[in-house]
Amino acid sequence: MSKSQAFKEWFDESFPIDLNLLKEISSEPIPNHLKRWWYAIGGTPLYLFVIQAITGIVLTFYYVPHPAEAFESVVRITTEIRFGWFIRSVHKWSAHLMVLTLMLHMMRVFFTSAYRRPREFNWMIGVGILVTTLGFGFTGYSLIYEQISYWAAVVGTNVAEATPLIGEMIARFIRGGEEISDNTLTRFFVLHIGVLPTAMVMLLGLHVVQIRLHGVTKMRFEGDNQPAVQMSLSVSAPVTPLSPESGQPSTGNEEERAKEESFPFFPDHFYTEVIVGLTLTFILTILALIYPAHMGDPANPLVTPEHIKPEWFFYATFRWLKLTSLTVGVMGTMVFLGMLLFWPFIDRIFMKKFPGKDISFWIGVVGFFVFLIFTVWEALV
Amino acid sequence: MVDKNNSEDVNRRGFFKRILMGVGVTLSYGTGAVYGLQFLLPAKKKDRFRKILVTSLKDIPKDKGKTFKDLQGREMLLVNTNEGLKAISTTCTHLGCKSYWEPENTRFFCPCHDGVFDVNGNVVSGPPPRPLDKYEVEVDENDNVFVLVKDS
Repeated sequence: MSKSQAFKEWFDESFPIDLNLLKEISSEPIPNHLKRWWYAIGGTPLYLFVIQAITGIVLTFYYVPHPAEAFESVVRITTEIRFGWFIRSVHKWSAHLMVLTLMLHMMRVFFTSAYRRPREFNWMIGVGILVTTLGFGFTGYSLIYEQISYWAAVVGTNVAEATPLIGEMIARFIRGGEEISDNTLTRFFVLHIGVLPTAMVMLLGLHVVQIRLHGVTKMRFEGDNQPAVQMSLSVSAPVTPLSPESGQPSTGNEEERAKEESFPFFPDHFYTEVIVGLTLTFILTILALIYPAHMGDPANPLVTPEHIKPEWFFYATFRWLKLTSLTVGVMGTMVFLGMLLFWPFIDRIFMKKFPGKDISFWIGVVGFFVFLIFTVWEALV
Repeated sequence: MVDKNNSEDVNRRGFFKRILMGVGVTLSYGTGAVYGLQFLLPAKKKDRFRKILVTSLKDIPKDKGKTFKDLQGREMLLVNTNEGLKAISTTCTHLGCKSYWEPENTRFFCPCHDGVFDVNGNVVSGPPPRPLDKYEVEVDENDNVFVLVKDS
């Protein structure tokens, strides 16, 4: 037996992987509509999360999670450590892009009704990913320990405290005491680099497994050869998810048709994702070069800055809290989150009560514009 | 053929096994979870107060107020109103930001969510749910003004 043969035998024995099975898993049929870029946006937050994890781990080598030293350590990363400014800027910008692409992906899923049965739980996992990402954002900018960090932590934990029943306990848990203290920064650090990443990896894993198990939602577009099931939920082109219960008549030669309507994940869609990844890397580099992350004033627990704003993705909530009383403000936010989480089931109620009325679509449009108006309003004042 | 009674015995035994196993697992991990939660949740501390000398009565302008700092360095306002002396905390009752005493407008303004309070700490506009917190004030026979503030 030659050496290479012996090595192959040893390798096969040590890693008894069925290559055919691997091939089958990696060549998931992807519906043709994913050749349109708008539909390939779901992979971008995953790619950005990987960038976040890498840059985040690297930043942890120099960051000091103590109120007395946190700000100084970020200054050191930004000004002294070789390429520190670049790593930090990429970390910051990929965070912003991750929130943005998540929102775009959710809007795509929402307006194409891809959250409907049997994918309700994957939508809910997706909402979990959004909340985890916002948690990353909140704890992340608090770690810098500049003025916005400190006061965002004060406001954020007080919002949590105003939640009925469990609010006080949650606030005490996040703060590590009755008030913001040394414990708080340690907790934010642990959440940011330990708890949230673990939750995120689990949620992303579940999300991807669910997509693989259900397959990507098939859709019909205007102008397709196949007759479309009428549905007017549309952004630019009316599309229809074709789930097993959509009632699409069988044409007999299903397998052949399925082949025509799809392409394999590997290598075709994988290449698309590689191109998306490279484009994102390019965009992140340009953003980091033109708008590098800078430092604000160090945190001062005794002075709230006269002009204070959170990051842009909390603008809408910030504006909402200005407009309403505390109870309405907090309850409104909770109701919004609850509705987002259980939307597939709320949508089903609307479909039953008002068949063919597209209520979900219009609520989505109104919701989106309210979010946009509140965000722009807060940005302008 | 399986004896009917015997088979029932086995099922009963199996049933009790599961119950005991379930109770055991729930109790042991449950206890662990409760202790874990207590570890993560710091115990509540009772507020302690300390009396500090702030100023003399004659140094407080009528209806204008005088700012001073508590033991943590947080600003407070001492006002001499018609209802007597009041020491008002500047921590906004909405979401905990520091509100600012604006002597020219005789009002407190919180920059976080635009809350406005009057000289007595009452809400004038904006989202704050209740008036600013007040602390007890004492004046001795020599017109020295003391305030009972939270100890750190």
